[in-house]
Parts: sequence; structure tokens; C-alpha cells
Amino acid sequence: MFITFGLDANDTPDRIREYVKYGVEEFFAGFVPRDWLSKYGWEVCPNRRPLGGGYNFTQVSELAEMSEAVHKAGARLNLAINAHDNGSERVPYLRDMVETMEQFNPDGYVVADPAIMFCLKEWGIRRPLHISTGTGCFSMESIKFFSDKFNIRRVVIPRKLSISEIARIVEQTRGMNVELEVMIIGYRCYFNDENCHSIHSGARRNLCGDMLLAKMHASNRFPDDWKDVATDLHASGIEVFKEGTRLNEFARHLTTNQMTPYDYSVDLCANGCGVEAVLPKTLYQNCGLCSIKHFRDMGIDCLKVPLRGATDFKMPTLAIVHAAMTAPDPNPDFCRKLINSPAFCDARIHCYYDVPEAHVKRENG
Amino acid sequence: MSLIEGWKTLRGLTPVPRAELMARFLQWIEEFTYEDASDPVVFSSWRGLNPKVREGYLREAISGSIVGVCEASQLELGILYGLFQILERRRCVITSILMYDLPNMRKLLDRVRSLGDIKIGLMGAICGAPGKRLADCGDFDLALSDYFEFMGTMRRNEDLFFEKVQSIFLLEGDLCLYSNRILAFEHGVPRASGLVYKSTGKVPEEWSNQDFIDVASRLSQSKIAIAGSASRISKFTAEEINKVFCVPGHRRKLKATPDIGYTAFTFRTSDERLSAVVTDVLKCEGNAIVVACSDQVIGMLQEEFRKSGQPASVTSRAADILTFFQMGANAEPGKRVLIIRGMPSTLIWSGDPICKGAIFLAEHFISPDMHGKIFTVGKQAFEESQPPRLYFALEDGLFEIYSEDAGFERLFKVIDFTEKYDHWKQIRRVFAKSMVTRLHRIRSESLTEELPLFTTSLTRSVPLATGKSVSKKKASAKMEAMCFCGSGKPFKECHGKRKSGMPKG
Repeated sequence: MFITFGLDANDTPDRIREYVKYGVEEFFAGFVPRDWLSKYGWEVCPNRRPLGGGYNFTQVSELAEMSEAVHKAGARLNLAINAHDNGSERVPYLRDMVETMEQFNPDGYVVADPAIMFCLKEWGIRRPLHISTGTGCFSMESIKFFSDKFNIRRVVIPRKLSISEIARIVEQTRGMNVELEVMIIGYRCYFNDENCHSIHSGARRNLCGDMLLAKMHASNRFPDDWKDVATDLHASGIEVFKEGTRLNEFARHLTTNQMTPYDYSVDLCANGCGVEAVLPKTLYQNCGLCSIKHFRDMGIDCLKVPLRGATDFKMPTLAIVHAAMTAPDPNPDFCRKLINSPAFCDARIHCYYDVPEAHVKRENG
Repeated sequence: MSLIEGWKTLRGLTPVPRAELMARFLQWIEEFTYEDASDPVVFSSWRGLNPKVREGYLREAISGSIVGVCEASQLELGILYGLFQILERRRCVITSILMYDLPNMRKLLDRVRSLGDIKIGLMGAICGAPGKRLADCGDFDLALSDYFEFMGTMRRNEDLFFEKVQSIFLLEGDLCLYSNRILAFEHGVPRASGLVYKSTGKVPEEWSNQDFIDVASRLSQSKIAIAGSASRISKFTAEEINKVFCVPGHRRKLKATPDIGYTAFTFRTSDERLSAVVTDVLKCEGNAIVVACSDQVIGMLQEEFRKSGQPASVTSRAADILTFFQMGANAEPGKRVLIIRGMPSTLIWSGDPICKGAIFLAEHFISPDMHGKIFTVGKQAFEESQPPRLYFALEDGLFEIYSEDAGFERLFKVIDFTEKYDHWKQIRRVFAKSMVTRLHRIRSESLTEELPLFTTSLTRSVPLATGKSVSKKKASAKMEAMCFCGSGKPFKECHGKRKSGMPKG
């Protein structure tokens, strides 16, 4: 079992060497020149991440540097062009992108749109393909369909399958020469990625995420000039604590325009035990560490740690996945210690996969 | 003797006369820069120069000058200068206002690191180290820095700055010392920078206000070894920098580079100007880069290109040029046009030009020096690049300011110059040059120390805490100068204006 890890333009060769030390044998990344923005707008991305250096490589020289660094570190690099679908007017540009990427000898492409798989074939690209989770290979039949038609090396199993369903697919694909990959941490889809075609490259976050989390933004309650108020407070000191000042108006606005607080539905309070759940929730979003043992036992080849665009969170997240992956017995107790937040782990909403034994203790208790 | 042993020997030399050290260093860098002669990035520009020319550049820099190097890589020259400073037991900071191509920069630094005993520091987003400051660089030997971050340290923590920094190399030094000479701060953070078009030497009293810093004057008073490079420096800018920065007997005077001799066309309206730009772009052989500074003009240009059926992409990122022209064979098999918003960087190119093409200036930039830089980018990007053509409209925002504030019409009648040019192309050119010269003269008369012109706005969402309280009066007073966008309004009422205080909903 090994880790495949998402890279973005904030990753340097030094960082790539560090990632390899944490069990990463393979990387994936997107390449979208800014020219794409002018042509198709920021709403449309060929790999379902926001455009720009925080998520994608935008320069040929960056792509060259990253490719060299990955290969020098002894790892593999796959390039993602895994949008659900691609309009015909975008296909010539995608071909330009693929031809540019080909100069740097990627080890494969991550694709979701069957039309692009046919295009790659037509363009003479013979590199192995990874079927993205967005394709929706929910069953043995769909894996067989793609394997018959294309040079498929790996299938990324949809995130909404249960551990027992994944085990069935693993069992059925034995002897097929297809690797299987599962998502393990972060970026769990709120809905059902494979059947959802909402725009995945918003300027701030995905449309679906924004819709669900909009109520949680504290800034919703602030008047537009709150930054000015903060600056004034900083500049003027104690004299702003008087009637008639902007700070007083700001406070009045907050008290007279109260909004209903967001209902978390789960108790995120640590009660003095471990870290507050909000912190691991921010860092990992969703976690599947407890299921690593199951995946290892059933013979899953690869764990996916996406995190393109989350530069600061990459190393701590990778470290805990590596710790669980290499532990002789990564049982729920072990994994919970890694997270160190019982309140986070007890709320099942944070679990990537349902691992019943992870919750036995609390429910019995 | 191996390369590293040679370097160690140089570092171990007991103090020797500078001339002797220089001779041995020059001998060593011949091996150092040719270590991998086939490398398309690392020191490739240096190797492509005539040996006598490049030696001259380095000697000039080491003697404390800002060297005009045309298309040659300034970062490579800066690194070699920095290595020499290390031999002279001085820490060196290379600082720039323009973007680098980060992968190429890292490759160059890796080569320096391969010498074994050189500690390298990086600070600022330009160097791929956002949030890093001088204090984070430890005991560096050589550091690369964002100019604004670096000069912000000089303002915030003078003791640290003068303790750590013993020599400075300014890339595109004229942009640092002239175009961004004045830095305006708010809570210790650089917020805007600007130029004094023509110095009179009479510094207004308000300049003693703590919220301003005159970088050129401050550096000229320091004892730090300062050198730099520039692609091209106009005579006017060289004289201006010499006035403020080059103290006689202490610093060498700057020399101007040969005039680029670009062609200028003047148009009555912006529409006429932009349709002429598009027509000429369509006629030119190969690809094209169009440079403009205001969003309004860029929007109109895009619309003109759209009407003409020629696709054109817009970018404000310097490094995009290379990627743009390396791609597009399938999506746009014909001519490719890139519109660049603001100043393109002369520091991203390391290899040969990649295609045929021409560069067009759709607007008159504030300083004539900037036209020279844009010409340099054209020479770096395109084979057989011609000097850029400047398309100037009398509706230019800045021109309106001169018209209103400086009584432009009183000096000559504008309309006379625009009515005849249809059939008298030569005359049109002469008139156009005359207009640009006149514009230059008016700027010289009006934009003195009393009226610095903002060139860059550096707004950050989160102010850094300095512990110093700044009164509202002071904070607003510093933004009195005209806005960089050419709107004619003071900066504080234009791009420096805060959002309205209206609450949501």
C-alpha cells in the first residue's frame, strides 16, 4: 500500500522530497495555463479545482521543475484532466495541454470523461489511465467496460461506497491487472461527486460547499466597513470606546441584526479531553484513518491524499496518514490517538467510511 | 582543482588587494558558469554574452554601479556579484520589484548551494517565500528579496536592517530607485509607492513625516555597498537617480543605455488609437504582445480584438508570456496575441526567443524608462524583435490631468496635431514625437517633490501590528498625491478609497 498525493504550484522540489519520506510513491497534479481563464472563464476547470497557482500549475517551467523533482525523488507523476465533461470547443486547447504535458513524461493521466479517454487514444497518447472517482465506477461491470476499451492502470473507487462494497469490488477484480485506489482524508463530497455536475472550481470554494457552509461565515453578520472599524481601533486605541464612534455603531449593528447561529447538530466541544473538534474539522474535514486497516487487509493498492490548494495542511495530514498506514495494527484506538480529538471522532459526520467498531465504545458507554 | 575546492580556496584567502581577488574570482567563475554548458537555464544567458562584455558588467557592478545589461539575465549577474561580496566577507541581498520565474530562480540557487558553504535566504512572495522576512533568514550569506518587503524592514526595523545587510544588488535598479523611490506606509506596512518625476532638490516639510520613506536618499546616506542592474535606462532617469542617489565621490554615476528609438503615434480619441493597435497587430508578422496599464483600455482592446475575429488573452502575470507562446498550436493555429496588464517582467527569460513577433504599447507609461523595459521583454520573447510602437491618445487619463491641472491647452493647440496625419504619415510621426516630448516636459514641470506620482498600490488585507499608534490625520494625509491609475483624483479618493460603510442588507 502506498500514498498518492496532490501537488500544486506552492510545492517546491524540497517539499516533494519531504513528501516522499512520508510514504508518497506517486503524485498527481493539474496544469492549467492562465490563458485558459481568458478563454473559458474561471468557472470551468479541466480538473475540478479552482484555477491558479494555489491549486494548479500554471506555467510550463513549473511543470518541468515539478516533473523533474518527482522523478528524481524516485516517485511517479500523474496529471489530472478529470473534469466530468468537456465541451467540444475546449478539446483543441486540452490537446495543447496534453501535448505540453507529454514533454515531461508523466506516468499517466487521471481522467473522468470517457470522451477524453477516446480523444487521448486518437491523439496517440498511450500512457496508462487512472479512472477518476468522478467517472463513477460503482461496480465490477463498469471497471471491466473501461479496462476493455482503454489502457487502464487504476480505478479510484467512489467515496460513497461502504467498506463491504469496496471489498466486493476488490474481490471481483483480482487477476484483472487493475490497481484500486481509495480516498482517505479531506475533501469528502457533500453530495455524490459522480452524479453531481455542480461547478467545482469556484473562486473561493466549490459551489456546493459554499451553499452548505454559507451560514457559518461569521462575516455575514458584519457590516461592509468592518475592516475600517478594525483599522480605526488599531490606530486610535482607547478613545474609540465611546458613544458615537464607528466601533459603537458596529457593536450596535451586531446586536440589532442578530442571526440564528448555525446548528452543528453534533457536540464539537472537547470538554477538556483532547483538542476542540473544530480544529481537526478545519484541518482534515473528513477522516478515514480507521478504515486503513480494512483496506490494507482486503488488498487496496493506494490511498489518495488530495489536498491540492491546502498548502499549510499538507504535511500534518500526510504525517497522520503515513503513521496509520505503516502501523502494524492501526485500530480505531490507535487512529483516535493520532487525531487527539474524541469530540471530532465521535461525530460520525466526520467519518469517510463507516467503521462500526470505531464507535462501539462510545455508544456502549 | 575542483570547482568547490577553488571556491573554498577563494573564501580562505587572507585579505588580498581587491584587484587580485577580482582576477582570481573572474578566473573561477569561468569554470563555475560553464560547469554544465548544456544547461538551458543556469547561467545560459551569461555564457551567451561576449566574454569581455560580461566581465565588464561584473567589474562595473562590483565597482558600485547600476549596469545596463539589455536582454542579459540580471539575476545571474546579481548572483555573481553576491558571490564576490561573500568573498569580501559581506552579506548580500539581491532585491527586485519584478517577478522571477521561480523554477529558474531555484535552479540557479541550487547551483550556488552546490558550493557547499553558502547559506541562502528568501523573503517575500516574489521569491516564493510569502510571509518570510529578513529576521527569518538567519545568518544568510546571500538572500533574495521582494523590494517592498525589504524596504519595509528598513522602515520598520532599521537596526536589524543595517546589522544584517552589508551589500545590496538592485535588479532593475532604476525601477527601485526612481519609479518606486517613495514608499508610503500604514501601520509599518508598505501601502503604495511612487516616483518624483523630476527632482528639484527642494524636499517638502511633510516628507519628514514618518509615514513616508525616500528610499534613494536613505540608501545614498548609508554605507552599504550598493550596485545593481537594469535592462535599459533612459538618460532622463539616469540623471534623476544620479541627482538623489549618487553622492559625488561615494557612488558611481549611472550611465544611460542607448536610446531604443521607438515609433510613436498620436490619436485624438482612444477608439482611434485602439483600432489602429488592432489593425497593426493583425498586419505584423508572427505573434504579438500588447502592453497596457489601465483596465479600461484593456477592456476596450479585448472588444476590438473580438470584433476583428482575432483571439486575444489577457494576463497580469509576467511568467505567463513564456507558457502562452509555448502552447496553442491546436487551439489557435494562427497568430497568438497576449495583452499584458501593467509592466511585464524582464527577469523571467533565461533561454532564446521562441517565436517571431512584435510588441505594441497601447498606452504611454508614466516613466520613459518603462518603455525600455517593455522593449527588452520584446527582444527576449521574439526573434528579430523591432522596437515597440507607442500608441498614444489625447484622451489618455494622465493627459486630461495635465490639461486640467497644468493648463495644457495654453501651451499649444492639441487639435492641430491630429487633423492632418491621415495622408502625412511622416508628419504624423514627427507630431507624435513632439506630443510625447511635450508631455514629458509638462510632467517635469509639474511632478516634482511637491507632487509625487503613485506607481504601485500595495494594499494588504491584514495590517501588521507595529505597536505604534498612527493618528487618522496622519494616515489620510499621506495619500494626497495623484492616484497611479491616471484618474486625476488623489490616491485616497480613488484606488486608496475605503469601501462604503453601508451595512449589508
